[in-house]
Parts: sequence; structure tokens; C-alpha cells
Amino acid sequence: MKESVSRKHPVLSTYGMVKGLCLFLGCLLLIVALFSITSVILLAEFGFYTGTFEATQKEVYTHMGKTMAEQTLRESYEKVCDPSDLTFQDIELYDRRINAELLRQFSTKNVLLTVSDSGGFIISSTYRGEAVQYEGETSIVLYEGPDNKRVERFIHFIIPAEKEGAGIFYVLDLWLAQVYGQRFALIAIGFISFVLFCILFAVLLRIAGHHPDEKEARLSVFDHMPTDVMIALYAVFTYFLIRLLLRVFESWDPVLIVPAALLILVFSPLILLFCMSFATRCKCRVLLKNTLLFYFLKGIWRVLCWIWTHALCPVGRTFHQVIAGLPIVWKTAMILFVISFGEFMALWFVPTRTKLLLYWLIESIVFAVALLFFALLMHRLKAGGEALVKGDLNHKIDEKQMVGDFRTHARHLNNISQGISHAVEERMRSEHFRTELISNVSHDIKTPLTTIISYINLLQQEKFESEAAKKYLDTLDRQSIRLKKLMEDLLEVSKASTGNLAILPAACELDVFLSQALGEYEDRMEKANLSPVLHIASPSCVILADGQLLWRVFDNLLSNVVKYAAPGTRVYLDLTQQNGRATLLFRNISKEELNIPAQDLLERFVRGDRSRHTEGSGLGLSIAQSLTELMGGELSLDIDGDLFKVSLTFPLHDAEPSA
Amino acid sequence: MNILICDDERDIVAALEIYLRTEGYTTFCAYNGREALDILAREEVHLLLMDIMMPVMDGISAMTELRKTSNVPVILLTAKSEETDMVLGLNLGADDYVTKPFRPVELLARVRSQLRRFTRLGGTASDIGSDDTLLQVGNICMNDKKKVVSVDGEPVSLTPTEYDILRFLMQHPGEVFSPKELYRRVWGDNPFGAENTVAVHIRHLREKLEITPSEPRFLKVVWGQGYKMEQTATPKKGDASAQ
Repeated sequence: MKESVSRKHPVLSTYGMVKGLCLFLGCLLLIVALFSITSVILLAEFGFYTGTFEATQKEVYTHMGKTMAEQTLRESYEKVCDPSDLTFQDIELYDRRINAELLRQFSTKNVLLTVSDSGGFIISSTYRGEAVQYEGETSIVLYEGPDNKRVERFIHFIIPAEKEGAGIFYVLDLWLAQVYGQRFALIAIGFISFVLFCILFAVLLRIAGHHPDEKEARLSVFDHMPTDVMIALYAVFTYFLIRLLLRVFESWDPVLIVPAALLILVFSPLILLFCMSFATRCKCRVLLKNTLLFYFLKGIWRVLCWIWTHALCPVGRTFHQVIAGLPIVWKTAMILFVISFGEFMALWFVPTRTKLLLYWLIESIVFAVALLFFALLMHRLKAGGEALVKGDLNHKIDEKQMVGDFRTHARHLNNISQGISHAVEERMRSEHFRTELISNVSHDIKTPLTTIISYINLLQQEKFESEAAKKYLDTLDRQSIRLKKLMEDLLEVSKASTGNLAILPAACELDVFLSQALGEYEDRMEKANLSPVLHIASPSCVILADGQLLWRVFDNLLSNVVKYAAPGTRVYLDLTQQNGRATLLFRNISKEELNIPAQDLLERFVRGDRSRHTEGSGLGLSIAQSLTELMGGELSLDIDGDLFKVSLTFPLHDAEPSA
Repeated sequence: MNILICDDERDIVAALEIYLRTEGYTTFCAYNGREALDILAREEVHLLLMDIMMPVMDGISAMTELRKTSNVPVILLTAKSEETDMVLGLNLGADDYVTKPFRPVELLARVRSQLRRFTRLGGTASDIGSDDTLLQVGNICMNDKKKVVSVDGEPVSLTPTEYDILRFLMQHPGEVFSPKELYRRVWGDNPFGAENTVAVHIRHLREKLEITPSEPRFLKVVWGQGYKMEQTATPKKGDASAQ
């Protein structure tokens, strides 16, 4: 873990740098594109792309002049009076004080005005015969009252010729020439930066959420913010930004331009980040899941679920149980009653009801009797089915009392019960037959086997000249004994697996049992050069088992240990107790390689190929397992390399150990 | 000594004849229960070896018939290895049983044991004496005064510990003692994990006293509880020796 992180780190940082660079370039391109496109639109409005330079220049001058004249006049009025108090009469009054103000304005706003009212009467003029560079006319409405009265002022403005480098119009001229020359370049810049931005934007969306060496996109800290909260924050931010921009465009106030520009600078990376986060959320499929609305709905759904399971369901279940518990005849009667009552109520409001009620009554009674009869038949069929389910195969439905389809169904049910009882009988017979067969066959084999063993023994007592004959006889002896053992095992496995074995359960103290069993095997263990290690974690473990059968289980397991454990190793026997169950664990190291799965060792007659030619039937483990299960325990095998583990688990016996 | 062999399998009868003759017994042969009863009526027989499943008359019926008149020891040869069959046979008056397929050695040992008991108990039972220092369970006798233990009259040599264990168990026949308890009573000491010793000693004892140590008739293991000496009815000729 540590290693991989340290290995990843440089990759991560380069990747992060690339990401950051993309983001930065994206912002830059976005700003450039926005700026150029806005400029192009503005320029197009002023006719940069349609007219000659002079025409364009005139257009700009007109616009500038008008704006400046209107602004100057409005500001002058605002200087001499409070604009909110400006009334019709006041304007007349203030007209006289405007001239001085207009003159003062000229020092800053390089424009001269001649203001006249709607009648053509000149109120004020600051024009003193200067050389004219440009002149034009405009008007502003100063007041528009509810009584359909308005005060309008007509302005004739003059932009005087300027000395080089003196005023803003000279700068404007230079700027105009510059912009006019570059007007197509601006389109190109706008277009190219826009296209580049689109490409970068796509790249950013693609890499959003991805990290080096990780296939799937994953959410960053920022992405965990609920989507709707994020959208709301951006919406508020955007709203204020647009309002600010609108105000800037309205007034071109330098106080506002700087923060607006700053805001745009901040906004462009933020909007890009927003889009990236959006993309990441889409990739991780949490766009809708990670919203406050979703959490809210989920909470409501949980509450509803809780109400449903804890409040409505039990009530519904109780109701359902009550209904289901009713006999079918009663149910039918109830439904009939409800329907009849409804019909009766409906009929009650029919005007000529007496006759109709009579007919209805007759019809209802006939109908009800028929239905109740069918319900009764249904009830009998149901009872028959229930008896079948409970295993009462002798229950017969009386077909004579049935009608039509009900009778057919009853017959079918009766046939099923007959079929099943046949099958059960057959099964029991075959089971019995099988046990009998095994017992008889084994008896039949035992007799000749006894003869064989006896005569082999007799032969061994004879004096033979040939050494070979003696050897052959030994083989015969060994094999006949093996056959005997095999047959006994076979018989036992058949009895144990069919459960055909009398079990006499008694309280059995496992620690005592273990010491007894080890005592029985001590010599054999010593001979096989094995040292048993007994570990009793919980003494006084008492289980309920047939001691004799349990000993057979142990006998099988321990004789396996003696046969198959590697000499010079230890054999571990652990007794533990947990959750009301006692567990005995046998562990030993196998002499031979155990190249088969543990389960195969339990299958009858299957053994590791290596051990096939040793003595024993291969049934030992199988017998042990069957016997253990007969006594309510569990036997499981585990092979871990050469480590061979057998664990026996029995439920603990609650009663006090009987001495 | 005359021994009657009764089995429907002639080869087995023939083999047993050879074995018993080499041991010096006189043998009679019968091939079903009826024949056996006939021979028993005619001849003096000291021991009966009988199969259970036979044609004409099976071993159980023949033995039931026989027990009405005779106390001759009966060893059942049975192919049925179920515990219940043995118990049934012993309850009906058999003295011992051998399950097929048996090894001739084991059978001969049982024959010897039964014959010895029969002659000792039947004939000269008094030579053991009715001493209260004499303990007897089945074919195992212990004279605590002389410190001798005999099985079917044959002395058995025991180590002092084995002797003490055996005496304690024989003094309390039918009672089950846990290894700890046995240790405490015999060694007079606390075991502290020495229970295994008890188990080993018991096994040695069994090997010395029982004909087939893996299937003890008297010195029994009560698995998961302890050990006990089987309680037998007062030794009487022809009585069921164990259950």
C-alpha cells in the first residue's frame, strides 16, 4: 500500500499539473473568446463590418456624442436639484440655473450643448463659436407625469475640434483606426479561441474525475457537495454577476468595471470547475443521487417504510389472519350478507319497490343457498387437501356428496393420496429390502469366509518343504483378514448410513473419553513413533452420545492417524467449547502426499491413490462421519498441505455430568 | 473331553474337527439343531459349538430345547454381529459366543476357557473355597489372601498396580469409576493429569484377562465415563455369563 502510493505520487503530480494547465488555458481562452465575441457584436452594431471607415467613424461619433450630451445634461440637472424632487414646475425654475453648471461640465466632458425646450426656445447654450469637429442633435425626457405632462429638452451638441493629443476624441480617433484595421482579426481571434476552448472543454470533461492508474472515475471532495446545493450557489453567483454586468453596460462606470472584470476572472475557472464536477458526477452516477432533494425523498420513503412495516403491516396481518382463519362457509356467508345488504339498500330507493323486493328476496335466497352449498363442498375439498399435506393418506373425501367438477376434483385428490401411499409403501419395502439384503448377503459371505480363514490356518500348520508355499499362505492369510475387515466395514457403513443402528445416548465426558481413547492407542502410537499432544481448553465438556459408537468413530480416526501419519511427528488433539458446541480437533502430518480434495476422502471407497495398497477398506472416515451424524454431531475434514485435520462437533449436553 | 460341533456348513465343521482333535478333544458332528439334540441325547458331551442359522432346526431353538435338560456349556457361532443377537443368545442360556468370521485361535481359547470353567465349577468348585477374600467375576477369580488372580483356573501374572486396580474393580462390580476416581482410590493420590496412566493400565489388564481384548466380556470400558467390572449373577454352572 505504502509503496504503491509513493510510486504513484510523481505521476499524480504531473497529471495534476496537466489538469491545472488545461484549466488555466481553458479560462484564458474562455475570457478571450467572450471578450472578442462581445467586441465583434458591438463593432457590428456600429457598422464596422458594413460601412466605410468614415461612416463607421460618424456612427461612433454620433453615439458617443449623444451619450455624452445626454449624460452631461442629466448630470447638470441632477447637480442643481434633487432629481427625486424634480417636478414640472421645478424644471422651469431650475432651467435658469443650468447654464452655469453646463459650462462647468465642459471642462471634463469635452462637449458643448445648446439646450432648447419643446417650443424651440433656447434655454441655455455653451457654444461660443469654437471650431466644430462634429455636431448632432438629440433629446432627453426629464419628466413624465401622470397628467400626461412631460418635459423634454432638445439638445444640439457640438464636439469642438481639438488639438492633437488633447481630448478623448483624439484618442477615440486613434482607437477607431486601430480597431477598424483589426476588425477581421478580431473575428478570427474570437473564432479560434472559441474553437480551442471547445476542444479544451471537451478534454476537461473527459479527464474530470479520473486519476492516473485508475480505471473508474472517482469523486473528489468538491464532488461530494450535493448537486442541487452546488447549482443553487452557482445560480446565485451568476445572477449577481449578470446584474453587475448589465449595470456596467448601462453606465460604463469605471468604479464598477474593475470588480466586474475581476468577477469574470474568478467566474470563468469556477464555471469550468462546475462543468467538470458535473461530468464527474455523471460518470459516477451520483448526479441525482447526491442531491439534498434525493436525501429528503429518501428520508420520507424510509419513514413511510417504517410506518408500513411497523404500523400498517401488523394491523393488516392480524386482519388477514382473522379473515383467513374463518371457515370458507362463513366467509361466503359474510360476503353474501354484505352484497345483499348493498342490494337491499339500493332497492329501497326504487319507487315501486314492493314487487321488486319480493323477486329480489326469492332470487337472493336461491342464490345464497346454492353458493353456501358450493362453499361447503369447497370446504370439504380443502379439508381433504389439508389431510394430504399432513401426511394422512387414509383420509378419503366422500365423492358421493360432491357435484360435477367438485366430484372430479375430489376424485383426483383421492387418487393422489392413493398414489402417494403406494409410493411410500414401495419406498419402505425397498428400504427394508435393502437392509435385509445387505444383512443376508453379508451373512452368506461370512460363512465361506470363515471356512477360508480356518483352512488357511490349518494349511499354515502343515509342514511345507517349499519356502514359497509358506509365503503364498501368508499372503492368503493377510488378504483373507483384510477381506473380513472390509466386509465388516461395509456392513457397518450400510447400517450407519441408513440409520439402521440402535443408539443408546448417554452423558459422555469428552475429556475422560479422550484420555480413555488415548490410553487405548498409546502403544500403537509409540510403535508408529508418534507423540500425541492433548490440549483440553475446556474441561467438563459433556455431550450426549452413544459411547460405544463414539469409540468406533475415534477408533477409525485414530487408526487412520497411526496408519497414515508421518513417523516422528506430533499428533494434536484439541478439545474446545464454543456457542454451546464442543469441538474435537485432530491434526496430524500425513506420511504420503494428500493429492485429493478432503471431500473425496469421505466418499466411500475413494482414497488417495498412494494409500490404496495399504491395509484397511477406505471406509473408515465414511463410517466415522455417518456415525457422528447419527449421534447429532458433525464431522469435517480439512487438508492443508500435509496437515490433515478432522474436526468433530457435538452439541453440549446441558445436564450435570453423571459420575 | 467330548465336543459337539454343529453347523450346516460341512467345511467349517471339518476344519473345527481338525483343530479340536489336534488339541486332544473328541468331536461329534451335527449339521442342524435336530441332529445335535439327537447326539446330545445319545452321547456324553462336555461342550457344544453351535451355529445359529441352520436348516431344520436353528441354533436358538435347539439350545432352548437343550437347556430344559442339560447344563452343558454352549458357545454360539454366529454370523450376525448385532449386539442384540448376542444378548438374545446369552439370555437364552448360551455361555459364550464367537462371531463369524472368526480366527481359529480365538475359538480355541474360548473353548478352553469354557471347558475349564465347566469342569472346575461343575466338578470341583469347592477347591477354591467360599472364602470372603475370594472375588469372582465371570471366569476371573481373585484370591486376595494369596494375591493370586486366575482366569479359568489358570494363574495370571499381574503387576502390583494392575492387581490393585483389578481388586478395586472386582470389589465394586457393576459400578462405573472415572479415571480420576480410580486413580484417587487405587493410588490414593490426586491424579493431576495422570488419567492416561489409568487407561493404559486398564488396557494391559484387559489384554491379560480377556480372550479378545478389543471385545471385553468383563472388564469393560464405559466410554466417556470410566471403567467397570461387569456384574454377573452368582457364578453357577450354565448361567448366562454376561450381558
